[in-house]
Amino acid sequence: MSHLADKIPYDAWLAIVGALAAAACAIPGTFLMLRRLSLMGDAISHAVLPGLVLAYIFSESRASVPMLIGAISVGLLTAFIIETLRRVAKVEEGASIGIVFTSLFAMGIVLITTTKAKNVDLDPNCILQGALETVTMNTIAGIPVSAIALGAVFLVNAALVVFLFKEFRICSFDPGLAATLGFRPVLMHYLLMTMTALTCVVAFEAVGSILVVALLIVPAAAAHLLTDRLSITLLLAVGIAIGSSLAGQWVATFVPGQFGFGSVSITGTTATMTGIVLAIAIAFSPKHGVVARTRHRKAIEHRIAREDVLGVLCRQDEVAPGIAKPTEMLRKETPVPPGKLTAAITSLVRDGWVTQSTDGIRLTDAGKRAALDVLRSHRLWETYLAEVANVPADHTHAQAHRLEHVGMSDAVSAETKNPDVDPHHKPIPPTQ
Amino acid sequence: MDSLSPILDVLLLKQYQTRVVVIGVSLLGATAGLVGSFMLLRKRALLADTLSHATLPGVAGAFLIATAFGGVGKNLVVLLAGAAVASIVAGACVTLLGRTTRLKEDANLAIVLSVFFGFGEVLRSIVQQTATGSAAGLEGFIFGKTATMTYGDTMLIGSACIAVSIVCLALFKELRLLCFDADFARGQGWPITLLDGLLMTLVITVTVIGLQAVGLILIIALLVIPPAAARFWTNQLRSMTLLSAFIGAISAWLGASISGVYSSLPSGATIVLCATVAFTISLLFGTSSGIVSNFIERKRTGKAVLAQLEAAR
Repeated sequence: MSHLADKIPYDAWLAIVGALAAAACAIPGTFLMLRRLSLMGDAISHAVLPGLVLAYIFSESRASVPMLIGAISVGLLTAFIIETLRRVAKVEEGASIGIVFTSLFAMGIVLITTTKAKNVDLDPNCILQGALETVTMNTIAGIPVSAIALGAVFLVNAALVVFLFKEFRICSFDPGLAATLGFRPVLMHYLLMTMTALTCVVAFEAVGSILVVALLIVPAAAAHLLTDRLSITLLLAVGIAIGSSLAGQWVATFVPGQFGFGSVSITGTTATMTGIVLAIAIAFSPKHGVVARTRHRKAIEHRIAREDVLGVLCRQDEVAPGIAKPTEMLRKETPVPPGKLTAAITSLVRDGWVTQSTDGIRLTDAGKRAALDVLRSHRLWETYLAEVANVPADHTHAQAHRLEHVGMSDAVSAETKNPDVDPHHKPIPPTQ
Repeated sequence: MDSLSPILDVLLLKQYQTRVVVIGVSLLGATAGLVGSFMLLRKRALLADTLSHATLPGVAGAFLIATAFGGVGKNLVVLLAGAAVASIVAGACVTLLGRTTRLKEDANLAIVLSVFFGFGEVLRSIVQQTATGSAAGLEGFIFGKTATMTYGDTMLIGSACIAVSIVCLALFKELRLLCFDADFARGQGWPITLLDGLLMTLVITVTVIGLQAVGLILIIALLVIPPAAARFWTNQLRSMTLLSAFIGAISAWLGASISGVYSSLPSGATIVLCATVAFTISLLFGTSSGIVSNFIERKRTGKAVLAQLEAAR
């Protein structure tokens, strides 16, 4: 075993420990993000400081087991006090998190400076920043202790989520429903808090508390933007976390050298990488991304502009058949901005629905049919608003002008008992 | 009486250094308590957590840029400017994430906090490799150096305190509207985004000024704990802000004095714990919504209902 472990180089151990920390954090992080408890990781990882100090004072050593027990108990206590302040004293969630973690952190600092713990290396800054670079100093059978601990935490987290998937899902999305169905949302809350405390404590010894906050929340947030399914969110979050961790290590080790610097903080580059992945997800997520939503909105605006043009031309045809509509008139009679109007006309010409000549624009036969559909929709909505929704007749036009783009003509027609004329006695064209 | 005299010396500000520190942190406590009240009621108490962590890349970045252009990296004005810029960008990011994504406010705060601080770590590890950056200095800027606060620091805090108080007083009505019913305010035509930005600017001012004096955790505590404590005593915004400022100032004064007497106690942590004690007392005995007063109120209501039932029978 040690023979095998010795063959793995230092850099590879860094990568393994970083990736395991990332994977272990992403699982509880997804649920924290969904339960709107994102800052709980930040709170717990600051608040466990007095737990660590007390464990050190009582056990008189820096052995891992007492420290772990001390930290996890204080982590759970943190979650308990925050929840109690919120429920009993009605202190707002964010404020109660802020009160509890700053108080406990301050208690930890006072404990360090006033007791024998001050002689030992319990530097608060070190806890905040972590020291991934030193993980290989403490090994069992050639394997770094952090790798074993983080691997175990990852397996525990993964097993809990797999076996209690249904419970976690319902308690994340609807605790009220979960309670009425006989699940135990409060129990699940504290199970999640235990997972979070365990993960934070084990992970921040390796990677520092700020990176723990980043690994808990940022990959989960990116995954949440990419999919609507919980199981896929979890898998994606783990994948993004591991990817960011590996990319972060590569950047920290190789990129600064190109500019004449030595390697930089791995925890820092990893947190930055998670941020970059999130930025990409925000921009390019197929459903919730800024690009996709902008494109979708533009497409709708374009369709509305086209329908507005058709509607105006169709009304003109009713009054004066066959007469062309000058573009300036069109501009005045539609609310569409000039640039979008031009684009709409161009696309209508390309489809062969309107023709453009020197005296203006007129509908073709195909265009006339499409335009009558728009007019039908408009007048049916006018009828609906006047007769079903009881809107005063002089107020229906503006609203109908927006609703006509929703369509649903057949349903509206059925609802208004298939009228022939609208409230203004204008004929409603039949389906084309 | 001999054992009491050093305590009195400190409490009554007889030594120059304690006078500078105690007056400085008390002013800071009052200002933070004032601004924190509005943040608490706007349900954004933890924004201070994010904004203060986010100053790190600003400080380190300002140092690197100033050094690259041949200036003095450790110039206080340069570092303060860097911290303020980074903090403003972070605030804008939180707002932007809220507008453009479906992520919730708490996630946005955690994201901006950790990514900014992580990036700051990267910049800081570069700073440490530069010739002038290796000496301590930036650490103190982020984690505070209360005991060694200077006269200049106290003057800076004093001016910030006055400026922030004037803004709060002048815009009290607008801030009140923002805190209690932002949607109604928007409907009435108030520029809500502008007011939120203004409130954020006030928090950033307090954070940036206070950060290098007393450190990150203390600044967060002073912005969050006194307002939450004051909330238990009153339902009036005016008295809540005053009380919160008072609790902030008293906690800071007591904490700094205690750590002045017992020099092994770090002042920042002691101040936080004084504020925690004030919070606990308020939580239990607050006359408006403290646990004891709620309990008595409930008993009294129960008795009144019983008496009425008896009378009806």
